[in-house]
Amino acid sequence: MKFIKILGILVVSLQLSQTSYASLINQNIVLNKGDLIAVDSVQIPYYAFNADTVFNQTNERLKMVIGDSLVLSVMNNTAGVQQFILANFSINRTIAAGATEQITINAQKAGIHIYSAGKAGTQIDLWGASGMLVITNQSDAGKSTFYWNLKDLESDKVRQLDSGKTVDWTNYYPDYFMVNGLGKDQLVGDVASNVKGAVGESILIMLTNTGKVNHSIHFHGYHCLAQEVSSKRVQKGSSKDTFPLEAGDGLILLLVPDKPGVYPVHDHNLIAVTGGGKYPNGIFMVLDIK
Amino acid sequence: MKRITVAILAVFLVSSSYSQADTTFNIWMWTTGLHQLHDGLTLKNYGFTIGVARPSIPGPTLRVKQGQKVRLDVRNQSQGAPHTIHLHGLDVNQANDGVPATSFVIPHKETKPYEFVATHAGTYLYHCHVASVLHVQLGMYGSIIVEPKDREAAPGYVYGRDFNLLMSEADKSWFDNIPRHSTGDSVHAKFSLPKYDPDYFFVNGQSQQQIDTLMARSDENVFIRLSNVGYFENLVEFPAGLTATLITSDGRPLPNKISIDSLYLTPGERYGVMLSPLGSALRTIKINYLHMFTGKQVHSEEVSFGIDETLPVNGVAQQNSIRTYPNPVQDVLTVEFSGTNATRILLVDAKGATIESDFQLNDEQLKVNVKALKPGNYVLQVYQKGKLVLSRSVVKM
Repeated sequence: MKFIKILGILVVSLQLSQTSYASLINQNIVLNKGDLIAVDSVQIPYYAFNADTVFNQTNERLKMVIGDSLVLSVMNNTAGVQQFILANFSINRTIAAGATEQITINAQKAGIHIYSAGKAGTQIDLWGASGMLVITNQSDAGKSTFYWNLKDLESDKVRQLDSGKTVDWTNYYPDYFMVNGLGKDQLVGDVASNVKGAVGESILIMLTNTGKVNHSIHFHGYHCLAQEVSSKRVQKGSSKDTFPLEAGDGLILLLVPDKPGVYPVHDHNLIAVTGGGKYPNGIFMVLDIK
Repeated sequence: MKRITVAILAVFLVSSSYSQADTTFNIWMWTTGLHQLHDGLTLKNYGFTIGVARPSIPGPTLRVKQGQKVRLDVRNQSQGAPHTIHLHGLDVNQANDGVPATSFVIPHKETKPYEFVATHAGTYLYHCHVASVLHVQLGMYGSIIVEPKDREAAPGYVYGRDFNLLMSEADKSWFDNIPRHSTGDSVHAKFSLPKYDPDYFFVNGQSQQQIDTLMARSDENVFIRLSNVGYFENLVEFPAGLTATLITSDGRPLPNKISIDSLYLTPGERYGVMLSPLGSALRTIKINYLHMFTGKQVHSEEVSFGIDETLPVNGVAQQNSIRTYPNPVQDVLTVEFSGTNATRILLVDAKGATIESDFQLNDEQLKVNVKALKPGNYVLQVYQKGKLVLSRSVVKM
């Protein structure tokens, strides 16, 4: 009996200690329209969710820890009516031009989710406006964390959409492949995607596919553990060097390097390492381990 | 004197380094291949060989034992571009990673070593990492198999025989029209590519009637190693009536061993699937090739099993197969038996009439002169103790 009481106190204490970490987060994101500057300097009409009304081709990342509440204000800074969809939380809001919608999200379980300005397979999310919502465990606090939001885009189709034409997606053949809205040479200065760490360190990589096609991300030098999966093709807890991501998939990967070195990570559909028809211009990141 | 001392020291260092490896492969890299296709055409391919030989697609399968120290002495005899070997999935150190910008390249007429320890049993790839999208497409790839101790592919999963199926595709226009790199090209240069629209779909570099039949006993577990080094996806369908259990991926046991009837492979992935004993029925594995961007199925190939009860029970892990080449054939068809025991072979025409049966079975190879046959489709039938164990299409040109 005494043991059960002690156990009960321990459980309550644990719950209190967990809730004591929880935060109320207020964040604003703005749906902007602008021009993507591709890796070969070509300009392409593009949408993105940014921190303010200044267009940036990298979508904002929403970050939470289990127990957090996020009050998210989503402003539509475009000329048309748009949607905000967070399918895994059954959120689908219509936002008038210039209007702002407020959404509350409670983080109950670790995982990675995609938010977007349209349903998968329709126009605008394929046009750039989709990003990631990451929920981590409290035990992940302090770990170095990196973000890879994969995208693909067929510039001719995007221009057709932008000019109000109907697009036939059945022959989709993207010519730009990006991480966080950036191609290979643009990624060099992107601190969110270029992994820097040390031997023995626990490193988290947040990976989503907000493009239309499947991707296959291959790590040189290391296997990673699939810590959280939002995917039919990857088993939670599996250790792999090549991770398939269908459109809409997300993975939280744990990398614990066992040796130093500089290693690439790239799409092993090598066509997706191109950009503007040239190789190598696409999905290609670097791990720099000391 | 000083020079001689240095030379002796260099020889000592090289030989001591050699002696540290448990197994060494002498790999050659070429740009002079002529890979025969199922329709009689050829691809002017790049490729790897062991020793001096004409490269085909894929390169030789390198089998090593778990725990071995492995060395590849790699000679570039390509007449052109520098090349490398990336040891895909083996988690080697940076120096042995085969990436031009971070490791080293092997210029024409030079030989350099790669070394690794085969720590984890599993199926891996090797491929050139210079202008990868081009050199891989042109054929510079192959499999590395790290055999587990006691044929235990994952804890509790022991196989009698294992087979390696490496999938890829070829867009012939790339082989014909893309300017090839010359010796002086920068390995870092950007280059333009046409749209990728493959017209050949390979299993171990073969398609349609070329594909090897996999010979196994009816009563043993069969371990299928699946890899995709193409740019399309594969959807592999396993034979109905058998239990297919997915047990490994990328050289590691999976946490959940699950029964499957089909399996997707994206480029660069590898999986290990244990099949329950085949029984007496003839079985096939179907491999569908899905477009990398639309997901549409554009092609499929079939890999057949043949039953051979004379194979040793739980023999040394190996790939038993019957190969027929060239196929299509004009003059002489070679039938090659690897570890299987045929007792009678017939060549029959499309109507089932026997064309020739008086073959002399010597060792593991048979030469069939088909020069006088009319062009058309024929069937090679292999019997074992009176039982048909294999039928193979042969195209006479």
